[in-house]
Amino acid sequence: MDYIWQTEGITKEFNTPGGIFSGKEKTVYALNGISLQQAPGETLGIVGESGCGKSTFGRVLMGLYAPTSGTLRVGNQLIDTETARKTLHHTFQMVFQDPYASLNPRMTVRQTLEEPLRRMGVKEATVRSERIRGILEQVGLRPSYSERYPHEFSGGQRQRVGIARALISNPSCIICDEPISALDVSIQVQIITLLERLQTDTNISYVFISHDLSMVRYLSHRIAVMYLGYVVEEGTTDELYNHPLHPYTQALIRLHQPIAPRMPIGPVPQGEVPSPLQKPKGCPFASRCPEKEERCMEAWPQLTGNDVHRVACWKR
Amino acid sequence: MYSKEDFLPLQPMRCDESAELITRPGPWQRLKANKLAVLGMIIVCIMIVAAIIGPWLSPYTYAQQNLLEANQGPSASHWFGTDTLGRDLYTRVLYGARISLAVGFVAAAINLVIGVVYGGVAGYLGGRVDRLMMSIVDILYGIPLLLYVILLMVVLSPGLTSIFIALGIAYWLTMARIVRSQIIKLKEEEYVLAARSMGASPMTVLFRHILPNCMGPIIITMTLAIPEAIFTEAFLSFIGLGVNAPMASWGVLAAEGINSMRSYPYQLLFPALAIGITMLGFTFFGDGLRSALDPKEGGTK
Repeated sequence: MDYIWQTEGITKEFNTPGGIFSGKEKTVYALNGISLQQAPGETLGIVGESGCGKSTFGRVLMGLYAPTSGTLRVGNQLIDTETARKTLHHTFQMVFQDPYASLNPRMTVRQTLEEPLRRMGVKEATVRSERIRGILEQVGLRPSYSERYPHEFSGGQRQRVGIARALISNPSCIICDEPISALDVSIQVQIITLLERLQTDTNISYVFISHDLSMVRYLSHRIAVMYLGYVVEEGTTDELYNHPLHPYTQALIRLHQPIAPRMPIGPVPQGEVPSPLQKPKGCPFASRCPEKEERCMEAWPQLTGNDVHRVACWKR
Repeated sequence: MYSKEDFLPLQPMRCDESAELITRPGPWQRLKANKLAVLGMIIVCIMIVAAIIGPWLSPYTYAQQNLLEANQGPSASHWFGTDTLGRDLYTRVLYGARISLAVGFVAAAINLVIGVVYGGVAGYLGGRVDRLMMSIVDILYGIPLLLYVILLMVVLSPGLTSIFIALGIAYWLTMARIVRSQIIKLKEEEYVLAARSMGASPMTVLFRHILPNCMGPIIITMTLAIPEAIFTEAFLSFIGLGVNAPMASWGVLAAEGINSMRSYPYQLLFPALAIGITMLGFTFFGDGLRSALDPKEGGTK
């Protein structure tokens, strides 16, 4: 099977600079060996708590961050240099969380959409405006809106502009970094429907980063669950939701059931997410796991299993 | 009573594409609509024109003395009166406008060129470069302007040149700090990230996405810097470190006027008025310019 992209053991560390007064340099371990891949036309959902590294992973794919170690392949090409990373925007584009912040307030929609076209080398102004017209219609906006500034739109419309900007350079994969969590519920549905329709029309792939489990379930073909910079479980949507194996995934799904009166929700992970400043010696979830054993504290379990379902847990 | 027709779904509205086209006033129209800004612009223009051609229209020169006509009040032959040496005050105020405005514009240019670029580079690159560049700014900030000017006197004679050099050393510091802080804030914005993720070069990001969005603070800082520089020149001239007699800037004229404030108040009044009106003009104009360049203000009309 040909994948659009494939990562192997991607890690990303951030160093907070040490100074005369701020003491020693600290390292934040944001990603600890992410190995994932994506098939064309598929949607890969990435779920996890805030700070689990899902956005960082999206930005590594986008080439905004250089991974500390590990490899990223796009098609057959190995992306290992800064020059190669600069070409990633041909494959990937991004839709951001906050439609109020992700559009330049001083540029009209036309100017915003023209920029990627110019960079692609579309010189003729008529070709550019034709393309902008087409893309605005595709995302459900009137072409006459192109002379408007972002503040003259509603949140949903802005997010449509954001999607149009990602779409206009014909990428094969769009990284949606929590694209709906800043929107009203009714608008969320519109945007999801739009993303779905675009996928049917153009066979584009999505990396859908979210903490909204029901939306991820609705939209994704495969799902990866992240915790503290690790992928703890990965599999097809049906398999993962129907037979969650990792205690963390089980808890997430259980906690996301509609709340009914007096219905027991089972054990809830206690305590806080550990600090990403230290790499845990054993399983990252061990400190909160209801089923932890001696060996969970000793060594980190590998992500094992088959193509349909992989899990990183000693007990599965 | 309701009829059945009241509950029919609405017909899809016929949408006239041309009706959607909104005509938005451009920056120039918005500036023109702002009365205070227009007033400020007129004042600034009049001052510039007067400074350039004014002295030629006067029958007197700025240095011409006539002791027989000393300390005369405003009259038909001497519009602003004369000073203690019988020099025509009108000519001297117009001549002073040249020096004061030149100082103001030099300060503005220094602010724009050195301040914006320096602060922009420091803020955008961040990290070590930023720390080094800002340490230099901090050190320069710590040395009072007066000290530069006095030290410059060792090499140069007092005069406009040393004032310009002193302004060149000191007048971009505030701008550099403000631009840097703005850029540090803006470079984390998602639209900057979006531009970078679309493959925009650092120069495009800086000049197309970041700098236009800090135009407001830049223009405000600049409009504040111009009157401040004019004041600084006036102050330096006042204490004798500025332009030499018989040249006259507004500061020198005001200093001379203060000596005879009780007996001949007009000698202070006219230079002071000139300073005050010019500052008001610059402030109104600058504020108008800032809101005219901001697409969020004014909106659709």
